[in-house]
Amino acid sequence: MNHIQQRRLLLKGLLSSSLLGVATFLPKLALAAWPKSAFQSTTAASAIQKLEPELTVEKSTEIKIKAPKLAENGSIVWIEISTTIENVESISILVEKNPTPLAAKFILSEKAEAYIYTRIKMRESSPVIALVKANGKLYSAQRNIKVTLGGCGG
Amino acid sequence: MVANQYNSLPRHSASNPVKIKIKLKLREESTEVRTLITHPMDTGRLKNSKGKLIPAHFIQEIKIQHNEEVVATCVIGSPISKNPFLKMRFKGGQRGDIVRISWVDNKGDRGSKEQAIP
Repeated sequence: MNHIQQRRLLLKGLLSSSLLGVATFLPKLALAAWPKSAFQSTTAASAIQKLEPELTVEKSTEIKIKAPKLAENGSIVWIEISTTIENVESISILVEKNPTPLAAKFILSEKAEAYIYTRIKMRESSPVIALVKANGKLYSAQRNIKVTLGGCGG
Repeated sequence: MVANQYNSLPRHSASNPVKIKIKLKLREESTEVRTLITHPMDTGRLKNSKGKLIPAHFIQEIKIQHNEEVVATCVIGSPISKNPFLKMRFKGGQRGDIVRISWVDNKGDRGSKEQAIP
């Protein structure tokens, strides 16, 4: 879509729709960067493919995943990922057995350390994949997390 | 109302405001940023007590800035837990520097908060 078409669409939207219509139209423009197809992928492999279509994944022992061995509540599972790989561009988290495996992608600047910590939801016990993009390559490591009570709904 | 769409002021309801908590800590080699944003992070798969699906409502992006420079852009989906909590570290922070956290969700709501490194 070129700028003129985009502008025309926006003007049309403004003219023909109510305020509510505008409100629902604008977020789509604002969030063009959100990789919808990757987040909607139902397998980890296809999510990775959608995120980085031109790269292949290499297993790496330089990525460290810290997480509980056994999580009681699947709706809050903490996870910490760090790596000694240099020039890290992004770190992504995927939960293989979740309905939509991709949980997050952290895009890091040069000033950021190759370290992230967050809390994720897990439907059931599953391997969790840490995907690191660095030097134009993709590296991954994984770790099994057991979950006693699944928590994908919350 | 329309103009309000373009600025970065929060526009969530007064009865259910989204709160941002920030904790900053100057470490030896880096500054640690911890942030918690109160948000339901609904996946769109859960049903309410009447058996109706609760529509998906989740944060899509959390940006962390150090003195206006973006140090991390966290692109997230609904598999992140309710009330998203993040921890990251960046180099070069000094006492008094400003760290800004801003978020946008799938409904286009947004908010931000600034805090100085203690």
